[in-house]
Amino acid sequence: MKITIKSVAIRPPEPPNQEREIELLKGASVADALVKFGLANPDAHVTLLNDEPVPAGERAAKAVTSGDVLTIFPPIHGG
Amino acid sequence: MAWHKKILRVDLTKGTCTAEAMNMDWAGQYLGARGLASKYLAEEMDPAADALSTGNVLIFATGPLTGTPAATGGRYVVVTKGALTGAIACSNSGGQWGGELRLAGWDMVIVTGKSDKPVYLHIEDDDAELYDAGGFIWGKSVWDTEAALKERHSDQRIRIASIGRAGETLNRYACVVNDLDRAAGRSGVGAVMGAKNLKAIAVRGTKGVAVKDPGGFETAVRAARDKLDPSPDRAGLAATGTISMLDITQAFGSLPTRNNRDVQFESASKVGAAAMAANRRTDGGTNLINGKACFSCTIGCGRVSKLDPTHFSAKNGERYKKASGGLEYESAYALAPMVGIDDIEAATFANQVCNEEGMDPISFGATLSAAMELYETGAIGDKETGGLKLNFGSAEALVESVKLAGLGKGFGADLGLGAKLLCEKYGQPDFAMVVKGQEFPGYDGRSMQGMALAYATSNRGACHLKADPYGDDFEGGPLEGKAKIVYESQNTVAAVDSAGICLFPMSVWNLNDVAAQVDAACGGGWSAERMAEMGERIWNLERQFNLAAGLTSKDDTLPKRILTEKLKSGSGKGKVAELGKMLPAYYELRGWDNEGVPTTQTLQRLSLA
Repeated sequence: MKITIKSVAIRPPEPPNQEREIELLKGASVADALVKFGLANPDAHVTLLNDEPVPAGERAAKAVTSGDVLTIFPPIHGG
Repeated sequence: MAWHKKILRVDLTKGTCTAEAMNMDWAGQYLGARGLASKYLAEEMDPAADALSTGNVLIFATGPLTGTPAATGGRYVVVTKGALTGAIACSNSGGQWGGELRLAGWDMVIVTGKSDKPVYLHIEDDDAELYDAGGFIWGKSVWDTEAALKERHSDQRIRIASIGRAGETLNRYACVVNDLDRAAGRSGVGAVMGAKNLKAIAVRGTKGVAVKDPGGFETAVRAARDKLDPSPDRAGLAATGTISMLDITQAFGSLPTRNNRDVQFESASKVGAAAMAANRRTDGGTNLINGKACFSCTIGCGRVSKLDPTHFSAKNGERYKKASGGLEYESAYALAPMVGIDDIEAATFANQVCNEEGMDPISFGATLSAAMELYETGAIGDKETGGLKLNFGSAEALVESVKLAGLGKGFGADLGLGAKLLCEKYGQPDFAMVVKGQEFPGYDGRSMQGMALAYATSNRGACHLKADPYGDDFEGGPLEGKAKIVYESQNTVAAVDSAGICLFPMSVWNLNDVAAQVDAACGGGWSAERMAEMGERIWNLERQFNLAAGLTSKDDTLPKRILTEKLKSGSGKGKVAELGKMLPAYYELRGWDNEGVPTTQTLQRLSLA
């Protein structure tokens, strides 16, 4: 199955904003998607699955389904 | 030790400048900057006095780490009763001015009374003197004031904090600008300075700052830098500045758009970090020229921008085509999505004028957005605006409005009231996105519930910098935990603000890192626990000031829109701010009664009674 990953404001050396589809096996979790995406230190990032926050401790148990949109960004403090 | 133990007292009524010893008992309880200045303010003025009256006191204060090599040790605060809010104001700035004041040998400048004519203060190490500003810099912009003072005193290294014409005309959100584009921006501290007829404080320092334990201080500073310097957070801020937050709030659905009627802006990509760095089709140049750092900062989140010379706003003068302070997240949010504008050059121009004339771009943008809602709903028309077509999305309206507000002319005088008074004047108080009269920063509390509580309880009105609920809000943390996060982080922030450093290292540091540097600099046994307790003391002192000024628990609230209108999109879709479910727990944690008044037991525990 395919899902879309949007990475937003990611720290260097990664490009700040990307959007791409990734292929996952049926039954894959949010954690699996993050591994497949290849982001360093994913636990230090926020994830939204179809706009719903998925805390780091729940990502291994949270299944993704075909067509989902997973958004990833670092939790910047203030601005 | 790091304190000079020396205060410059300026009595504008008498026209005198006097050195006096700092109260070191108070320094032991409040450290410096925000905490110590708030203590002096509370002791020296009647909180019920009008903010623009002679009875208000205006304090410029550094912390013990200001002017030292501690990373980000360049901060100063302006503490007074805010012209925008009628509440205690603590407005924090970076740049070079705070460090220079410390190098001149002063911890704090306390300004009382009112001059019978416009004046400016010149400080050169131990020497301090008031000079006439009338016929010289009064009536000039911040930028022209800086140039004129450097020329008159024949020293390009003078550091200047001044007000522009917004401060002179008592614009309610006028700020104090230092080093051309850094500002003690919020709550109208510039209007208080203008009301006192004080145009500028020019400083030159050559003395340096001594610390209690030089070896221990070097070790503590190095240890803290070893954590901060290689961190991804530091690298991110250096690379893109704070404006990268705009991509995040857009993705999360907490980006205030068109006066908080929406929380995602369809043109966000045109006004974010990527747009700043992109080559323009017109001239091939980029909006972003470089980053820059404040005194002793190893982060460098500041932005330097250059306006597109072919943009219509550039016709306002050659000065706007030069490199100057660029958009950061808060200014970008307020001057673009909040007013529905997708023109980054127009927003950059408006930001330049805010720097030039000394206005808070957050409050200006949020006030203009309220005016746009008034205009689009027919509450005001061309008669009131003087012909300005205040439609959301109009870059022309933004450019013309910011010029008028900076000078206090035409409809700019109305805009200078701030959103609360403006909307009350035209019969629509619910259009004002404010807390305690201060306009919202760039986060909507319906999708960030911790921020909703932080806004509602902030002693200076709606503020994104007096608490740190960001991480938990973005993780979707439960409502039940918000009160504790806001309470604890408010105390931490108050402590950090009192040390003279920036909040940005705190994404990597904790209070132990700050306490180690403070203790080596000052001596006396500063620990993380003592810092946190001090932060709580400061928060309660500020609260007591506000209660004495006439504020009540009724002011710990949010606009009707945020409490009742459900979000239409993003992670908070269908939600409103659940303030009623968080506030009682917050009061309880604070040790306040149901009316938000600190109990005697709380005051005694914190040595406030």
